[in-house]
Amino acid sequence: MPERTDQDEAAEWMAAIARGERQALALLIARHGRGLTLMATRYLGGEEEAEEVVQDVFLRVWRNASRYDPARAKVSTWLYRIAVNLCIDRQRKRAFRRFVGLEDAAQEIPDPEPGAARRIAGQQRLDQVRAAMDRLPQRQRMALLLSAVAGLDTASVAEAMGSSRGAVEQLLVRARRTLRPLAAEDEETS
Amino acid sequence: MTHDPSDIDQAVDALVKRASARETDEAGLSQAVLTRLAAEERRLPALPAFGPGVAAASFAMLVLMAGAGGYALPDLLLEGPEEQALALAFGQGQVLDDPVSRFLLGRGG
Repeated sequence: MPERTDQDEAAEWMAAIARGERQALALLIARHGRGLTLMATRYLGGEEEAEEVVQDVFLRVWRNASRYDPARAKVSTWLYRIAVNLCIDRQRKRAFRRFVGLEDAAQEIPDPEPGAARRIAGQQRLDQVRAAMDRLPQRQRMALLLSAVAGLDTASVAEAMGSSRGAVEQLLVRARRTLRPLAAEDEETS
Repeated sequence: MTHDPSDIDQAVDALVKRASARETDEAGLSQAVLTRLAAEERRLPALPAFGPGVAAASFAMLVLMAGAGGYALPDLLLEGPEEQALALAFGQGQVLDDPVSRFLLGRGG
């Protein structure tokens, strides 16, 4: 008998969610909530906004679970695709709000770490990495987060971003090249 | 010292992962999602009067009126589900307690 994979289990949860079983939604959140939250936080630059996006992801899952087709995508890829679209929507809205003067440009990348954490040794390096990530072009940042933080393979990143595998590989090469000096410095000092 | 490019890529990914790490609260997230679900279910099924077409038209009018009247535009720049919920509620006569809604529903202002 073939071994039951995480994907098999998640697909069963999706079927249960489609039947209205909330416990299955809670299980899905327990498995994927953290990865989605970390990805959205780093992409959007703010914890509160990221948490709203992740809640929206699971609300959409609840409403659309019956449309999920395991033959077309893994559950994780489907979830990240929803998250990517919501993050992009948020950024567009934020840009519009800034354009019409409803949001201060300085609020775009709020400081995620309060003062005490900054004093911890090694924190400065991570701050530099976060700042460098924030300066990456959006699609490079998204591809890198989906790969490094969410742990998706290149094909799944491409699917989540609605892009080709080749394009994602290029995005990853460029993003990693930009961050290499920081990784080298980190290696020297650690 | 030379490095294999794939080693360097892995070092970059590890650094990105470290820089992105923070505490998360899956139980709190789950609770927040279930609370929002319950709130939506309390609000939406009890709305029998009009169809979504009426709601969408009313919502478009609401946006226009709010813009023209200087009402709180930020409140209207909501995420999709909230917009839909507001449109549905408005189209079915539930959003009553503000001048724009009262005007659009023909109840004076």
